Amino acid sequence: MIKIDINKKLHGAKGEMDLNVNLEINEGDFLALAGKSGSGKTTLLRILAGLESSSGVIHIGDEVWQDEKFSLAPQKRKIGFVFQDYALFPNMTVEENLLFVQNDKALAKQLLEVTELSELAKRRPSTLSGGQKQRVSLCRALMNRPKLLLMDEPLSALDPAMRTKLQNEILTLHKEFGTTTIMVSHDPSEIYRLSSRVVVLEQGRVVDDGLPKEVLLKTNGSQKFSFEGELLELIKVDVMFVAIVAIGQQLVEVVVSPMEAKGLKVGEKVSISTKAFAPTIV
Amino acid sequence: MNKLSVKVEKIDKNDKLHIVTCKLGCQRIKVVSLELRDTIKIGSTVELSVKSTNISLAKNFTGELSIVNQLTAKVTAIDKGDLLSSVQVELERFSLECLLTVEATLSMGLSVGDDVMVLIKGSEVFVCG
Repeated sequence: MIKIDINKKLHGAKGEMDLNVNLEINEGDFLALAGKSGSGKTTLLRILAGLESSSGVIHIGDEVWQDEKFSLAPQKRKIGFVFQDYALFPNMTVEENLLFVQNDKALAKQLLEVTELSELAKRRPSTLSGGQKQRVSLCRALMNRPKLLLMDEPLSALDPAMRTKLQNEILTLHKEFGTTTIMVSHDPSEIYRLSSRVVVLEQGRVVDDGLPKEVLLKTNGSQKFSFEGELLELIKVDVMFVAIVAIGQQLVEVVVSPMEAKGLKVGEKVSISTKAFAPTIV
Repeated sequence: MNKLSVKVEKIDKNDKLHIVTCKLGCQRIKVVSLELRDTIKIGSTVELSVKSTNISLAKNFTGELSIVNQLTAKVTAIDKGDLLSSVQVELERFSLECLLTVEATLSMGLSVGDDVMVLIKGSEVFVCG
């Protein structure tokens, strides 16, 4: 069991903010950390890694990483950290990048095999693609057999096809090593595919915590196909109305009956929903 | 997905709203729609579809209904689940799948070979993209 109960005052874009997180994470869990930028996700990862100070406690199993009067040095915490920008040593080969963390050739070989990087072991990072670099940094993060793997938007710089490929590899590695993982992500499909639990931060506080499907599925009563949008226009057509609604980057049209139209005002946020039975998928 | 290839026979229009009447074999199917692509005009062949959850069936039906599409078809297959049945019908030369409750399937005594009326609201029919 991993127990995190930390507190830190942050100076965010909207003034002072209290990062206040109290979580218990089961060993082997894959937890996704979601929330708007500035909600404290990255800071939480940095606190866990020991890169930032905070008050409170961090217990990893029976090890104490932090309590009221003690903080274990970052290099003594058994942690793997994967950053969005890879952070590999440019002057070392792929293999050397891994062995630098821990001189365990057998483990390096195994990791490179799982991620199909064996043939690139002697190459330098500058000769690798973005996806390959991120796979190397993922392998490197697992070299010290971490108790906790932290990933900060690890796939957000990659194209969709490479993302899917790396998601599969992350899953494979997670199955193989069972490392307790916390991953910051904004991508619902990524969260759904990889994680067993999602924690949503808002202004430094946990506002949602549950199974990915429960947290991510936007519903409206029994309607499972639901979007938030802005009502741009309500056009009278024949006896009915057509509502023009902006959802994300897209406009949609919805037919509205005269009675329904009475309750709508242009410019307002609206919820568009229908039952899961209605939409067509191709 | 249910697909019907039809020929456009008539287009009624009021501003953004259209009702398109199409010939489906020797029957007619109507589509209520907002804006139409300009490739849809009288005489053109278009592909229509309707979600299988939006189709109702009637057997030995008499009376008046507001549903504009009342088409005759024949049941060709029934696959019963615990709660829902997937019923296939042959409508002209096309095959349509309808999802009904098992309860309805049983109470209608629906079986393969039955003549049925396929009921689809005009607003549930759409032109394929």
